[in-house]
Amino acid sequence: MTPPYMVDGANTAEMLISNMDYAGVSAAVVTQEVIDGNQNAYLRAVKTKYPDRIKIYSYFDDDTPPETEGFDGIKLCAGRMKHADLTRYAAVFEAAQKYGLFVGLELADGDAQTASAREMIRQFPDVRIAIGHFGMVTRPGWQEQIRLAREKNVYIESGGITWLFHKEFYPYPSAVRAIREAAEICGMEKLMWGSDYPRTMSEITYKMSFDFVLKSPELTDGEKTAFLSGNAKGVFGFDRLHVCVPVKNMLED
Amino acid sequence: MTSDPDLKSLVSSLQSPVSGPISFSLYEKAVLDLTLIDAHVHLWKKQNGTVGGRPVRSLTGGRSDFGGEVR
Repeated sequence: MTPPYMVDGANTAEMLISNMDYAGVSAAVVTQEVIDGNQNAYLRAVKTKYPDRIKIYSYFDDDTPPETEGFDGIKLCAGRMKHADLTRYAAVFEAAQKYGLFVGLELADGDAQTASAREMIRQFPDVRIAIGHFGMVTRPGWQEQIRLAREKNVYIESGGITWLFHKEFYPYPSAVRAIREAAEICGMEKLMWGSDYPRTMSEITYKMSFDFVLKSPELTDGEKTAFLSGNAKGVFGFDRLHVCVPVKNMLED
Repeated sequence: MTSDPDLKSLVSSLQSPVSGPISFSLYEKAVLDLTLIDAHVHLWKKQNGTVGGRPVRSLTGGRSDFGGEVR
């Protein structure tokens, strides 16, 4: 389910940019997923249209070599591939190293794939790697995925954290505690905000996907800045960030 | 992290024709200061994925067919 106003099934860049402008989000990294299917052609067009606001991952599957032309990163949906052993997908990391791309990993729950992930991380220490879904934070053993970010080239992004803590719902106090716990494991400088737009937006607004962090008394201003902006700017290489001008809505004074 | 100082200055000086200087909420000031970056979004023109080997297809009204289950 996506928000019901996505009436024709299309989840377009124009809708995302409009949401970003309203919520005050300067830039976004577009990932890919098996349930979405290969969106490489569409994302290339999006990148051409919004080069300063969008970075894009290419979709990788078991049957074709990694696509790199026009992409900023390669997504390896590790938990959904034919082989659980990530060393079988060395071609992804080799291509990322050759072309200076980052790699996105979404691992199976807990420590199921952390050993082979660590092996690839250490074989390719210059490849920036972002682990998604905050290490599947509500599943047993999630901290093992976070520990991977003790390696210098590994980062954690929180896409899906509002989905994973949905039963608790906004303002997600357990999610904030998990962010604190992760920071103690790998350092706040390794953690980045992600919304998992648009499927998470069927229950919350885009602003709500980050302002539970912004408003939390459990994090310092510096930690919030690093988590919501600074860390991702460096990892994904956003050089010149668009500045959104706030617009009051009809509910505000 | 700071945003473009010229634009910040411009925004801070905005005047309302009705009530004078526009005040900004904590949220708005944070947005101006932080230049937020979302590290995980999805886009598609047409959903054509799979779940458990079965096709995922977009329907209308935000719904999708996930291998026979509409959600």
